[in-house]
Amino acid sequence: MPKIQSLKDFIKKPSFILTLILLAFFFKGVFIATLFPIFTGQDEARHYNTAQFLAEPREKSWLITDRDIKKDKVTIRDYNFSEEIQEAGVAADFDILRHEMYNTSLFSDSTGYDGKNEALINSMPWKPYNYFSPPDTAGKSLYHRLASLIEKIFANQSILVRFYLIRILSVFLGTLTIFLAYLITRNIGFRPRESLILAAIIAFHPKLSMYTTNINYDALLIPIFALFTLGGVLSLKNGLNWKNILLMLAAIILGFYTKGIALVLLPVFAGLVLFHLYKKFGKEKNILHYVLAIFLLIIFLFFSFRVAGHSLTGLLPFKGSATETFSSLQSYLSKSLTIGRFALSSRTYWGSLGWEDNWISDNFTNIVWSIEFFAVAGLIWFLFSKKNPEYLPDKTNIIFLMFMIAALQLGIRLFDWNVFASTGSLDIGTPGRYFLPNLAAHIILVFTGLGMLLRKENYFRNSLIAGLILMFSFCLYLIFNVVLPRYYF
Amino acid sequence: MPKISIKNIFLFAIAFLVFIILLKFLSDWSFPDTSWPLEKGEKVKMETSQPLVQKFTASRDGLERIKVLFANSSLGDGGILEMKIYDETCSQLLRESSLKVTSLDSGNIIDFTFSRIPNSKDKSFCLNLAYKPQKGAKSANIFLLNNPSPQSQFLSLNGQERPGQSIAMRPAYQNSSLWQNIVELDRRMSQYKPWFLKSYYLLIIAFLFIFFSILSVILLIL
Repeated sequence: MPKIQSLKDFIKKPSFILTLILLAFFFKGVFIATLFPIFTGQDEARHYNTAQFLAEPREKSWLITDRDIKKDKVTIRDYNFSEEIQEAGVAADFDILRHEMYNTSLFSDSTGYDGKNEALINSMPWKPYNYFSPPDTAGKSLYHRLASLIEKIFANQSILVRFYLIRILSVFLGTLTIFLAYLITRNIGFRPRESLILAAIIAFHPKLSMYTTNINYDALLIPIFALFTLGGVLSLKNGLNWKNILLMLAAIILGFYTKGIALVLLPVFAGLVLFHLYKKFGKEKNILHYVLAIFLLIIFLFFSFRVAGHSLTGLLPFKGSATETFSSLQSYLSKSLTIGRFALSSRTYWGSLGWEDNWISDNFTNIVWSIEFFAVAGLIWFLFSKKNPEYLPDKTNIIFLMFMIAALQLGIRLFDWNVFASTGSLDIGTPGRYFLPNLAAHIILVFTGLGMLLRKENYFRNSLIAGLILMFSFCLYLIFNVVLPRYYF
Repeated sequence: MPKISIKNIFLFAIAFLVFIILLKFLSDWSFPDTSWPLEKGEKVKMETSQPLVQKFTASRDGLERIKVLFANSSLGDGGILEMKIYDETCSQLLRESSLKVTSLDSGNIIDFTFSRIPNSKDKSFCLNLAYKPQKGAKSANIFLLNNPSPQSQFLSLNGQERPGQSIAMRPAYQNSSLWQNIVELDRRMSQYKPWFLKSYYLLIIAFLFIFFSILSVILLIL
């Protein structure tokens, strides 16, 4: 009997359950990575081509032909990708999968576990080199450099081995995000059980589960945002110290080397440091040298931003006169801030909702919006209430998370406006996946709002479990009832 | 009467939802014959007065559904799509399937499901497809393809024979046991994957994903 009791105690330990959540996320990710055929992730062929381009020998001993990047591409051969990506894509039926939503790969029933052209792909007849210039790539981010390392280490292996190993790298980064999300929830003030449930809800978020199986630099940007959020939360918990400053600076600099949108972390960081300084020295008059220190720090970070290859002027849409800029903003807002566009962002934030035409696809975001409506009401009450429940985080943490959400929203829309100002159309848009870096903050805010309305800790915990059951079921539904049948039945 | 605890309600809820997902998964489970072309070919209206007749040969045992690609159709108030599967003489009705539709967009693929035909391999069947509108004479549109495959034997549409053509469709099959279905799905998912994501490795990954997921959720509820 004592043995059974000790086993019961062991399986209820937070570290054990956290390990299970991380293992579940990792194996779910590897399964989903296998579920999606080669190159079918978001812009995946372009990101993989970037890794291949970075892995190319410095001396280009092959003939390179100039070819403009086409706007309307019909087949994968129309892209300025490496020969290997183009030919392996054709051999693995990528064009069918990409353009014919109703179709599947042309499976082979006679070759067992291998596709019809798999032996050809594995014989590596094509070079992983870009024969067209300019190559169709997505920058030289840290993620692509990590991916290019895998590309180089496994250069003598088939493209299938290299490609799927990089997908597994993304899954590993996603698993890291879940671990960081747990640390955020634990340090922000939730109790261990609630922290685990929140981490599990994030782990079963379908879009995060699917996006972190793609070859895409966002797979690195997401844990970087989580790292920064953790640094911020720790600073609010323990006060500003070298550990949490280092976490935030590391996140900002890694972010700069990953994607330009990480610039939005800078004003949040500056705001956080100013908050801490105000708290400490607000009543003293001579805080000039601290302000100077922040100023120098921001200059240093902007310098890092430049060194990482980004241009602030390139990111901002202020190109003409003030009147032109204002007119461009007006036009952008009228086209982008519509219910239809918000709905599209929301649908693509949660998962593959546009793939099926049924009740769940039609109503899921409405249900989420209804829940969020109550959560917002709860958050407003939370912010203006003098006494909040003990089982919820304190106000400063919640305000910090709101700033994180606002900064990323603003950054994405600024970037979208910038492209709109140049092309006159919403070429980039605001797909839901762009907001995933703040998923942990979003989920915490929603449940804090609901927790405020529910007022009792056991009701709050039950709302979390209900949320977990719904997220888990929705994730399984999208995997087994939507994505799997689309590619294999 | 014993009081039902909230934990038990949550456990029941998750069991119920997983059961529904599993049920839907099993109902979708079929293996279409991808040697049949499935493209947006010539768009043709299906007259409501005469059913479409497509004769075809099944390539394996376990014929269980026919997937048909429809074209963009103005259906008015909608209607019933009805498929009947006859023997090769088109006289003995073997299976039938019908479903109500209110809209058909370009690229809508519709599954006509019926009970499994165990010994279907190399047998010819006569497929009879009709659209019965609820009101008015609106018609459904279908795609026709050039299909020289011997599996597609005969097509008659709107009373006119179409030699060398077939509708955009795929017969789909199920195996006789769940394990055989799992093995075949494993085979399909393994295609164009590296060795460490194929065959038994893939089955182990799928098992670990489901096992750890369900275990962690249950422990969080308890």
